[in-house]
Amino acid sequence: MENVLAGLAIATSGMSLLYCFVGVTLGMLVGVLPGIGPLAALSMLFPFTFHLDATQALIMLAGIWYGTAYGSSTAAILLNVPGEASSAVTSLDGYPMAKQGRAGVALFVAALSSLVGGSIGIVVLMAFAPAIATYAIAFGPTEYFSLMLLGLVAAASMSAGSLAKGLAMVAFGVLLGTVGTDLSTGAYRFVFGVPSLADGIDIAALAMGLFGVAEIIMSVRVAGAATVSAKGITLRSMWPTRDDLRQSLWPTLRGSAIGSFFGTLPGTGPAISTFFAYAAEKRVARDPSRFGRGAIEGVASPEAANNAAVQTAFIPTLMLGIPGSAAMAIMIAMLMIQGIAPGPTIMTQAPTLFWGLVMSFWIGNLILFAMSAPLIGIWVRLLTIPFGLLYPAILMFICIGVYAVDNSIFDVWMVVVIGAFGWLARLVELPAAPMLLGFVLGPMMEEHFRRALMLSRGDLLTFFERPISATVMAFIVAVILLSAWRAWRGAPPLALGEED
Amino acid sequence: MWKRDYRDIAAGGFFLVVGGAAALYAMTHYAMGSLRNIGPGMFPTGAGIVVAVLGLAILAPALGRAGKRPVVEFDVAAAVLASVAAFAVALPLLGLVPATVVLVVVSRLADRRARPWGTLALAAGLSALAWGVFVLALGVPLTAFRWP
Repeated sequence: MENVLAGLAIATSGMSLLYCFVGVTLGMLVGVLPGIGPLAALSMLFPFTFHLDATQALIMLAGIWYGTAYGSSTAAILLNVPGEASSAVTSLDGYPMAKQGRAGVALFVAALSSLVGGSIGIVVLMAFAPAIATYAIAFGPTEYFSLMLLGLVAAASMSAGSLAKGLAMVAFGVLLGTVGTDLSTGAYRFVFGVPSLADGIDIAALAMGLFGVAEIIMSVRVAGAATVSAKGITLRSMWPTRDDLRQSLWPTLRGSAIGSFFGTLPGTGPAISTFFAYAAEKRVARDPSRFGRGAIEGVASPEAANNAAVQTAFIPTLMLGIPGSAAMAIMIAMLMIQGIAPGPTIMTQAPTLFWGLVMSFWIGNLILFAMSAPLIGIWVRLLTIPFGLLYPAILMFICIGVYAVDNSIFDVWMVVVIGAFGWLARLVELPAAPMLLGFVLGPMMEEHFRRALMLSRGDLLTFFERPISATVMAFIVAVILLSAWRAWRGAPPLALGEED
Repeated sequence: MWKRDYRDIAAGGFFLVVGGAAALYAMTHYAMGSLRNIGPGMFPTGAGIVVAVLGLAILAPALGRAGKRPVVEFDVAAAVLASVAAFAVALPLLGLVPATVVLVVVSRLADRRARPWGTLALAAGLSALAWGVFVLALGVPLTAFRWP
């Protein structure tokens, strides 16, 4: 309890409030605008965090991440173009509602269920994180290696496209992660006499090339300015009827539960939780044929799921140090650069960081709710900004941002190379997010692998003999078999996009 | 449509070559160590082999099936990548403001709807913003103008 209060004190201090506000506003902005994803925004702001203290930096990056989930419903409802993959499902019923003249109600219900979903996600986080930390303190290198492998395999199999492509990108990311100085022997690997490579490939350059530059190249022609007007979406038109609220109550709660669960799993995340939430509503509905024609449950449930999942995603990230998605990998990389090792010890060694962050989630969610409905006119007008004005600005932030990390021109050239690779990867449908995950987890996995084998005196069977590790390995096999079976049956992959 | 799935052939071929080359290089240049005491070479070799095997798994089935031809916007990619490269060249030579102007002008070549006056206004606005945010507010050591 005293931790919660201490966290609240940190979250409500002036600077934390400011960075929380900056983060969620930027997240909302990125969420509203199709063509720029949370990963691009996270990597763009990544260099700024070096100038901040760890807690404030994390509060800001986290704000971008969950703010995106709030904003992404706006374009989904008004334009039938989801701001992010996680709101693709919302457009199924949100856009028909808008066509029926109920855009205001759809937007308000989306915001309200986002708030409820986010709040339930935070409660789950507060309840389970300490318990998991106590449990995970007994984990050794063997368990961590298996868990990280599960995270990578799950991310690869859940991403869009074939399993082999996802796994290949993960492994390629791990391979890129070995570039630079080997942590335990000090040997240079794949440096080829380039001094700038001795510290490895810069994660900011990698993320900005893969998600910033490559995303811009793919969007310049596609993303035109939207013709949508804020007229007719007044506060009065947003007010839902008593029936609307009654119909959305249970779907919102069910969506929150589904989202909270999927958020904690590696590789699944917000986008996939919305599919399950929508499918669940369709199954329990008395008249499933209403779905797709403007059913309010079809907006409330996925939005709640999406926002619950973005909060509970912090449980494995902070408590185990295992990111479930590329966005979480960026948060981990940021913490490690700040000298904080995420893991079960974070609760005892940096309790103010954890509780300050969690309490900032409450504040951030309230700010987002307060900004979304009353300021809807501003967000709608943002949708009309031509992408041609936006992308040079994004490129400017990418170039100077990546230079500012180490004052290194080499890193800017790295962005060119990785951006070209990211563009070609998209052309041949290789998912980029698993690669970043592999890049961040790879060096950690190597260390755990080394230590595990040192403890077992070189016996590889240790990964299958220790009970927790063996269970995780069984899960890995199950995940691979499941997605191979789905591919063999010709079922579509679970995920639509790879934004998270 | 293509008679063969050249996208997967290219992707698989890339991984096969890069993974194989990395594994061979690591094997021959870095100490492998033993399982009890792993050297710097073992993990990259393993990762390289996995990449190469997966590359083969992507490549092989693609040889025998038809594939979709992707829409390649080479001019867009060239303009965007060239703008970042131009920034990297101009920053140490000319300073922050000219580098930002070059970045904006080159990157706008990617957008067919761009008009010259809009580009100039955007270049002016963004270079002022860049200087204000990074030099004034964040204190990044960069000079606005530099004379070569």
